[in-house]
Amino acid sequence: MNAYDPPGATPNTVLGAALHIDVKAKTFPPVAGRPHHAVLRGLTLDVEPRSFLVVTGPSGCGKSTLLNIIAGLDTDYNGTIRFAGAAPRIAFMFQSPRLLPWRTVEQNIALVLPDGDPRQARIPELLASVGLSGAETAYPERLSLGMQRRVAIARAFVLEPGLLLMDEPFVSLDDPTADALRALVLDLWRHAPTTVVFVTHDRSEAVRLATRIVQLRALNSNADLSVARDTPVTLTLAERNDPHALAALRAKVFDTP
Amino acid sequence: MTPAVTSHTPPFVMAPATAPAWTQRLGWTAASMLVLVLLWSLLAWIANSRHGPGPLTVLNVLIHEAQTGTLWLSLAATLARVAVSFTIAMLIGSMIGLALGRNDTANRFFDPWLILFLNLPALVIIALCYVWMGPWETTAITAVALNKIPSAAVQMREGTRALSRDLDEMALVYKFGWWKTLRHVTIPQLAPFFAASARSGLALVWKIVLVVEALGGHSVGVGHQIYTAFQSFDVAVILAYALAFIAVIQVIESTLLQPWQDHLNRWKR
Repeated sequence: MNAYDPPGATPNTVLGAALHIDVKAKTFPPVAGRPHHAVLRGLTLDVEPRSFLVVTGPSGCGKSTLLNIIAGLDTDYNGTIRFAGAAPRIAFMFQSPRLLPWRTVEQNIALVLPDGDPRQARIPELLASVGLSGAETAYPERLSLGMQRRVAIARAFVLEPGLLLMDEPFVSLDDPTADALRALVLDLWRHAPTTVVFVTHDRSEAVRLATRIVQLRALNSNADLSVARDTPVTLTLAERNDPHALAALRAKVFDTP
Repeated sequence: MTPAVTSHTPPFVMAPATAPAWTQRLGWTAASMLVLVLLWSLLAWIANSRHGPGPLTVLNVLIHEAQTGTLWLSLAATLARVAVSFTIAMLIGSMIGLALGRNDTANRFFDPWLILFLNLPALVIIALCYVWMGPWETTAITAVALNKIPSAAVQMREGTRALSRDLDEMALVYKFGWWKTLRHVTIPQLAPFFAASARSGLALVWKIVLVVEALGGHSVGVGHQIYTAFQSFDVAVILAYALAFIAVIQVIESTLLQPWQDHLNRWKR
């Protein structure tokens, strides 16, 4: 069981997908004088269904590249991504919200569903739960970044994804806004637990959200492998709201050798 | 999670555009036109020449031409030529632009051609068309279209190059499929470029149509009327037809193209 604090959470959707990641090597071709260089090597992870996997690491260690590979956006690598069973529906929250500025909030969310899909009926409820009732017909550029991110969250969850990929989705927000959005994502996730792969370099965020933290390293020598450390996180929901518990875990995961 | 969707005033919805802005613009236009007409009258009165008729003289000519029906016939013929050559030019120009915007190799190869055609004087294209194709209607259409195609192609090429890769990836991850991607992602990005190209295209095309009508010896059309008047130095007729056609183009511009462009840009902050 991975969704933390499980007794309260009744899964009302399909279980998250089990995911097997095996990226033997990912290199970028030479660009502008920079030689051919490897970003990921020997990265093998089995991700359990409904786990909240947080991937951290220094800039350039291939975190975003890994998400793009899992999403199927980057196919130029050596290795495989496998799912147990059928390929899941994948939702992706990018660093920027990537909404269609010429479509309204409501249309942006509805567009990820097929026409006439029964999930369309859930959009008003979902908009209310992300605090966007009343903004249905607004265009994204008239909303603040925090609001746009809420739309992106609703768009991801309306899909009822089997796999949710998130690439630093709360970056460049002020702390209270980012915190509110974290709480929101957690709440939605606990109501509809799915498998999450979440990339961040915010360590506090990592310990607060994760059921497992994988730290990647930047590859310096040809012998380096991507995974530097792989830590399970077993905090309960109560502990996740306790700054002391979080600080202690954060120190344990990131600061001890 | 209960859908508490009601009654509070959402803070993030824009106030509707105010009506006064529209009337104000109209007021300014009217005032500006009035001053121009007065200035024209004054100059005509000072000049006191058959070659510098005042607004009233031109208006009388206009009314006379309208009564005989020549005005409407000429406007209709010219407008038809504008419509056909404009449509052809926009279609072909856009297709070339899309192709060049998508394919770097093709663009590198054809870019010099494009620059050549962009800088080919309208008169040269017109002259060559009539020499090679003869004095037919298709020649007129071709000559006009050829003048607009290069700039339409350039504008659409820029639009295609500016397509967002981020949004393409979003559409790919969320499995939009080609039709949804085209309709909701690609076309909305290209539309402003197309609209800008259409507006500047209309302005260019109608002027070239007049030249073609005059040079090509077509017997009906605004260009033909102006050319005939020019041979007898009848400035009043020249001005009457010019003003009539400006009015027609302005009506098209302000009732079709401008509102369409505003509609395309409605989502912008």
